[in-house]
Amino acid sequence: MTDLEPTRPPGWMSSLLRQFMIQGSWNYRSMLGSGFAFCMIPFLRKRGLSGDELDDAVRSHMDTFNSHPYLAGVALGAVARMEGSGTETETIERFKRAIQGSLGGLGDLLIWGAWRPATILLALVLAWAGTPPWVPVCVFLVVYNGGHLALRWWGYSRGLQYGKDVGVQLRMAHLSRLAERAFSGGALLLGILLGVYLVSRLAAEDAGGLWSFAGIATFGLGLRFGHRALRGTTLIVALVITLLTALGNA
Amino acid sequence: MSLALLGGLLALDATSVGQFMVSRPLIAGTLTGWWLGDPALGLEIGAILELFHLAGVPAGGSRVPESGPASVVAVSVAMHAGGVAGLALGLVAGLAVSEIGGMTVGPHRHMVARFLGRIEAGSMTARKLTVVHLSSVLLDFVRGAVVTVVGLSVGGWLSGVFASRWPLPYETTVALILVGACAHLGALLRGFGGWKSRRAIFLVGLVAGIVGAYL
Repeated sequence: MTDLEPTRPPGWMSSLLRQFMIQGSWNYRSMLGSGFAFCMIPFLRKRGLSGDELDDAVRSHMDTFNSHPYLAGVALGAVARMEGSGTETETIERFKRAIQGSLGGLGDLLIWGAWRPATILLALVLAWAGTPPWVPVCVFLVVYNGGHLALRWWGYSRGLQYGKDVGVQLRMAHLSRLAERAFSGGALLLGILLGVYLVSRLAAEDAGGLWSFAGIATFGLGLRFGHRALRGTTLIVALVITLLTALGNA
Repeated sequence: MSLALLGGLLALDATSVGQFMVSRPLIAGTLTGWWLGDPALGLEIGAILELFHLAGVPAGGSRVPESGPASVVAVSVAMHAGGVAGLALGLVAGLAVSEIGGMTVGPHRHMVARFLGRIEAGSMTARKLTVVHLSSVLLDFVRGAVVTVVGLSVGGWLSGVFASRWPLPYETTVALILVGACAHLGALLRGFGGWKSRRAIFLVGLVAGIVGAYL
């Protein structure tokens, strides 16, 4: 880390706010590339660039880039710092190419794979417990977004602080360990929810044992085949409901 | 009209703006129920629809069902149909609209790619990039609103025609839906690391859930 660049260069707040819509122009050509360039504009303007200079600088950030949206700030902050310290364009491009895979993989694992389902399961358990409707909604939004905003802030501030060395910070943060903890918490909540459904919802029907057995069987199907089983079972449920409705008496 | 706006805003939350997960079925369903005057029904429909979306992971820009506008349609159809039929038809409407919504995301992304290709081929400026970026957000909002309106129109009409035909009582209807949802819960445990890695903590939860349900 050099002492020449401030850890919060001019334009950092505007860029942070833009990051909430970094996926606004997500596309199959450059993926997050255009959103990345859109978020870089405040930094470039505050550095005094305008006219053709600004357009050239923006164009240099339009290349293909992909990342988890919550962790894109790591790369944005680091690139802003590197540009501020006069790093060559080729070096910045190499850095973006090198770091995007980690940011995508870690974010997908930690947020989409662990944190989001775990916090939703918490809200579903609260909903089953008979709390007023606003309770699971507020608990989910506060807990989930607490983690979401903390991760965005952490990533962006680390990027701004460490520049091209931010990769070391990413490794030291042990985000995959956090994901492991969220997986464990999620598995506990998943067990609670399944237990509740098997006993109170499926067994409540007259032929309770059979429904519970069917529930365990489909759970096993999902566990065995994973995502390959999902569209099939969803389609079967939708078809059964449609058929029962069509064959029912008005 | 207000539901179309809600659907458009929820579509934005899923990808383009914020990603605060207000668009999750549990939240979007409850919000729609609150908007229509029955938050408890909104929560119930949202929770059921959530079970069918819980294991989905939108990794690497892959196409996944879109839950925001679908939740608006599901709760609206459930209220329109009323009673137990509402539960079943609301779920089917929600599942259908989430698939259709997911399919419309691809063309939107291709369209944005074409816009960007044009400005990159010509004279790309910061101003043009900003215009394309914000237009893409607006287009995503319109897409979500249109999906919601079409879903509400078709779903409302179908629920009016078929609601009185639903033959099963409440408990059986819920059991039927939950049996299907259990496959998604199984896939989620696989996503959490699978049976071998998580069986101890999962079984602790299962016992706690069973005891809790009996109490």
